[in-house]
Amino acid sequence: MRCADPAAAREPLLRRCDPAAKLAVFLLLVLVLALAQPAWVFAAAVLLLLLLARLGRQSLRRLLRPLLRLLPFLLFLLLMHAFFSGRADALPLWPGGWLRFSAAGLAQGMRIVLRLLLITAYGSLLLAVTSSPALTRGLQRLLQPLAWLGLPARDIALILGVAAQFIPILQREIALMLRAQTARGAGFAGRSLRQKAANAVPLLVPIFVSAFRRADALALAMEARGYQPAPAGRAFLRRKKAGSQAEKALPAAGIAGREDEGK
Amino acid sequence: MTKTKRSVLTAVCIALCVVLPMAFHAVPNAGQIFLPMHIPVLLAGLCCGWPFGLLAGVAGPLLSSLFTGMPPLAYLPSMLCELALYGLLSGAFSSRLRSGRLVVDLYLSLIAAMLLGRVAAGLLQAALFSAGNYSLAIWAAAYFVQGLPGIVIQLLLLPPLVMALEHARLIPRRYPRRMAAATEPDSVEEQVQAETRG
Repeated sequence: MRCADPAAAREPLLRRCDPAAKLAVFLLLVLVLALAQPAWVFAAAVLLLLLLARLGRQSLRRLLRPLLRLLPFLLFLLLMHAFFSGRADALPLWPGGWLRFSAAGLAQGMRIVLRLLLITAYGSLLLAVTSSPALTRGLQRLLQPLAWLGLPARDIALILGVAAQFIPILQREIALMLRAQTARGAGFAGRSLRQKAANAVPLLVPIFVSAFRRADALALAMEARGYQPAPAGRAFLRRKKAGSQAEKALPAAGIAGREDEGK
Repeated sequence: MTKTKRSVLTAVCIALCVVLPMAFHAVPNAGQIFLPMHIPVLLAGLCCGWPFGLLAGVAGPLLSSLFTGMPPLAYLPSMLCELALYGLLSGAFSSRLRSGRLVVDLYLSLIAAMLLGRVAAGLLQAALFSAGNYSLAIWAAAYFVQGLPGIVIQLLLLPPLVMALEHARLIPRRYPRRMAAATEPDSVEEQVQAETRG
């Protein structure tokens, strides 16, 4: 079967999947992992992650990158469960010693750490293979049952979508402001609690004012373009779906139009 | 304030819930000491009302956990309930309290939301998340002692911040008539009215 858009055909399979389905599968996986206890579930989840990463053409290293910062915390969590769980099977490392090793505690710690690793990796994979607007549309479809209860599902989806798009912008802006304030002589570490609290204020005020200024501009632009909150109006631009005949006819019509202009 | 503007301001507050803790990660234990995620949630409640504050309190920690892995899943439900309560209560108090003075309204709403939110979060911990393993001493240490710099920052920062946002006309004034008498008119409509009166 030939695809009308060759660029779309080259895209990985996972990227072409329906965003609502991807989001639903992700939430289901999070739920399964949060409740799972047997080791085979975790093994299956690892295999599934490898398969999905291959289908989405994503490297495992990229997916696990957000967890690098958490490695000391994860290690601490594992050691706490292995040595301080207070389980019945715990044995002292030396006669009369206070440090008691428990195999069951270690297994529990490994389960918790693996759960955290897998959920973060699945989340990174979802964000890597789904664009923000697609994710927002998927979220809106998933939140549709809330609309039946009278809750503004479309508005909630829009808010979450806009928030996701603001994250990288604000991240860059905060880094810039941190450097600018440091260059002006502001220090963000202090010995006393009062000093620490006072040092944070010069950073926080400009961050909030600048973020609200951006929000104000966006809201003004949305209103100027006729955006209306639910239930009236249309929130997202969608590509028109056309059959293969129409797709073939459109370029022909374009060529015909140009020929007419030439005459 | 229009619903669109409230929605976008809430979206920015949710994004700040993800980004602000990342900025504080350079300082060890900064999340528990400075409570950076609380500030945008309380601000969303104070500026946009309780439904938006509630949404910011629910979505902020959820998105942060998804994007950055912090807070870890084990702490997420309790933190989510706590922040949702702050957003809900700050918005509810802010819309109901009308003393005639903005500073008084803001401080009363903020202190009431912070206190009641902490009490409700402690009750939830005792009944649900750490049932049978929770005491008054743990509650006081977790919610008041450890986060004392964060509480101080919230009290020092939030009321002046809301006033600065009002002054910059990024949010509408709470007492427009009183303020308009002291300063220049707010909108074009008010300007025309003032000129007509003059």
